[in-house]
Amino acid sequence: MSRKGCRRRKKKSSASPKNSPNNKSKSPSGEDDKERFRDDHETVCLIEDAIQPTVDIGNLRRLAVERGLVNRRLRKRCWPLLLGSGADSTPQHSTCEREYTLSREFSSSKSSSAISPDSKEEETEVQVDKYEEWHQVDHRDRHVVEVDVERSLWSFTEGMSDERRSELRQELSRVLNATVGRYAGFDTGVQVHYYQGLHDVASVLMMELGSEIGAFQLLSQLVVLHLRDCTKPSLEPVLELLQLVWPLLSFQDSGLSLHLQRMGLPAYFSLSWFITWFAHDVKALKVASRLFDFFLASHPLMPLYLGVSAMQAMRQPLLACMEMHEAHALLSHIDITGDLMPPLEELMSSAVRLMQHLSPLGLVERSLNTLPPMTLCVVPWATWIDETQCWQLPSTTPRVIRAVHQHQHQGLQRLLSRFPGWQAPGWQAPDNESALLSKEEGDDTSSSLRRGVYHNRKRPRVLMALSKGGMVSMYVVAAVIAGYAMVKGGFGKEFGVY
Amino acid sequence: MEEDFDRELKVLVVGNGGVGKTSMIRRFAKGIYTDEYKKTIGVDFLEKALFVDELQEEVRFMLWDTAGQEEFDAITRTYYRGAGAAVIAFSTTDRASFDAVAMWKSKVEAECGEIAVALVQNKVDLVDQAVVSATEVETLARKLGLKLYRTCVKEGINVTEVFVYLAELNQRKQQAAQPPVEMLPSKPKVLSAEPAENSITVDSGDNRAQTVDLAPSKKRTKGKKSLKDRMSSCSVA
Repeated sequence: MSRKGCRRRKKKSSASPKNSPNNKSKSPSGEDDKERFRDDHETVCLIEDAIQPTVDIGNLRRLAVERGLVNRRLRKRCWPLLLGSGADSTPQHSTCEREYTLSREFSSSKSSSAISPDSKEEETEVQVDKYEEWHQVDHRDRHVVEVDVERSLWSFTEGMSDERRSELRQELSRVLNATVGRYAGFDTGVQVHYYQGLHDVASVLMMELGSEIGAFQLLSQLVVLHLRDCTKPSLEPVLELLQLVWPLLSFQDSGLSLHLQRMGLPAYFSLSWFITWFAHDVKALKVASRLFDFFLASHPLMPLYLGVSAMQAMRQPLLACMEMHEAHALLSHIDITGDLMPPLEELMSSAVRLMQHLSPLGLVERSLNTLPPMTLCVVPWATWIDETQCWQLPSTTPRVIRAVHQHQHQGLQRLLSRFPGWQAPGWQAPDNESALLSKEEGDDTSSSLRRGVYHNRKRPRVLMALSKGGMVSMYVVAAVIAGYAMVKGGFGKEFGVY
Repeated sequence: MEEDFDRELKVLVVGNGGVGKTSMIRRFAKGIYTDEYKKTIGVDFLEKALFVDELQEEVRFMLWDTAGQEEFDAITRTYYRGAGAAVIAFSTTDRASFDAVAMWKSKVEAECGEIAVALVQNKVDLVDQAVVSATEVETLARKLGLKLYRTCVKEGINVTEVFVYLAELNQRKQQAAQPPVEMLPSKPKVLSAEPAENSITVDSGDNRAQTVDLAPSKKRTKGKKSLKDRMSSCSVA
């Protein structure tokens, strides 16, 4: 048995489409080196083009996903841009409303001085001033930070002297405390709590950027965006969110999903994927930074998509697991660049494809069939706002409403009318122009699903609707991102507000 | 093969962060120690087979390492189910970890009932930095009715003893809880994956939950080897 499994595995890695996987550092030939150098050089030029003279954020995000940001210099410049800050050349950014603003004081100073080219520098200075204060703020988890930092930075610091490492640990501890301290004065809903794993993320930022302040600035944005669900007072929102692994895996590979669920495997094997962006188990900074390029430019759920793609790659060993603990051990310390995996670039593209086939909202919609409606997490509803060039999250989990029959739909309309500016989709397929801004490709047969994206003028957010033509009923799914209502209809389901 | 019929014992290792839970498990399962441990995210799993003289039997220890931060409770609790034993660890140099012992005990009991538990004081080599006195530790152990082990994971002192003790205690509890007729090892039981089944045993005061949970795992089927065995034999072939 085992021999067979082994041979298969070996075959798989050698038969992978790219013969010289660029993430595997083992003895690359000179040819490969040259080729990579050329590729990198080309990528650098493309990135330079994307950020100068003005920032083309769409282009930059695409490059970060598809090619990576290559080196430290570019990452220093581009990582903040990917989170929607530091884009001083896009004045529109500062004037747009940012509902989920990173820090109120700064966003207000930003909008008032947006025209001045010095505004960014000033802002940085203010931050540096305050940084001293923030990292001394007392908070619940100071002790946890301390014990975590003591055990940190074993990765990414190979060959470093103990003295240097302990200096870096002090920096790391300040970065973490300041990140929590920065939000300490806000309402409880906005406050940020430390969790074990955040320091893995912080280590990557710090080591790659080579700057304590730089790491702090990025981290303090991440904790209210991509990592928002992790920094709540408890990790419950993350636990809820991780359940999405199952519908996602089922979509990709229902056999594997069934096999793992049958053995009673909790979805928490994916915990460190999501809360540390794989940084907990990645050993090389180069790989971690490449993953961070990818995740910073992607939807916050991308770590789960990448993880599920990796699960697919290790399908055989997973199917060979008969007991829950075996599968847990394999998955929770997944080696994303290990022998079982395709080259990292390939793995990332398959995650992107998976997200194209099943968007986060589509995933949430699918999950409604098998999971209880989510009530705590907000990250699955993250949307990229072109106007502001940043991610936006609802401040609470959208509610779920199911409507099947026409009278229920009327109820739905009444409900939506309570949200000023919102328009419910018509009972017939919503081809009304003011409502339907974009249609799913492939269009228009009555049996196919149609997707409408609804805008609300007052709150620049999205209402998504799926409608299914047909005699008997209409299928309505809508997520009101900032209106805090998610509307879902389905065959035979009772109308209700959850 | 005979080893496929090992007795299995699921052991939880709990306690505040940084007290040396992971190091202890590694020391026991792999016989190694290094400073370079990372904190545990959520839960980790390791296994170790050991012949326990007192039981005249090989025991396969299924070791579940848990994150210490309270935020992870909801996750770690999920893995408590079916545990036959638990180690509650604290550090000589961390007062808060000592003060949290009683809380950890009640957390374990709430999920697992009265399973075999041992109290472990780690880092005893760091006496000069001690923040708990020998007397108060002993008093606490007596109060909680737990056997105390003083370990130094770094030097490998008293580590294996903890687990051997747990295997014995588990065996005793099992025998006490179950009338001899039902102890036939061949009796197949199905361990359900459903969460509800054996998890609500709070304050029941008996040992049923633990025995029910253990019985099925004693029996391994189809000559299946552990994952580790398979993986290592793979990479050699």
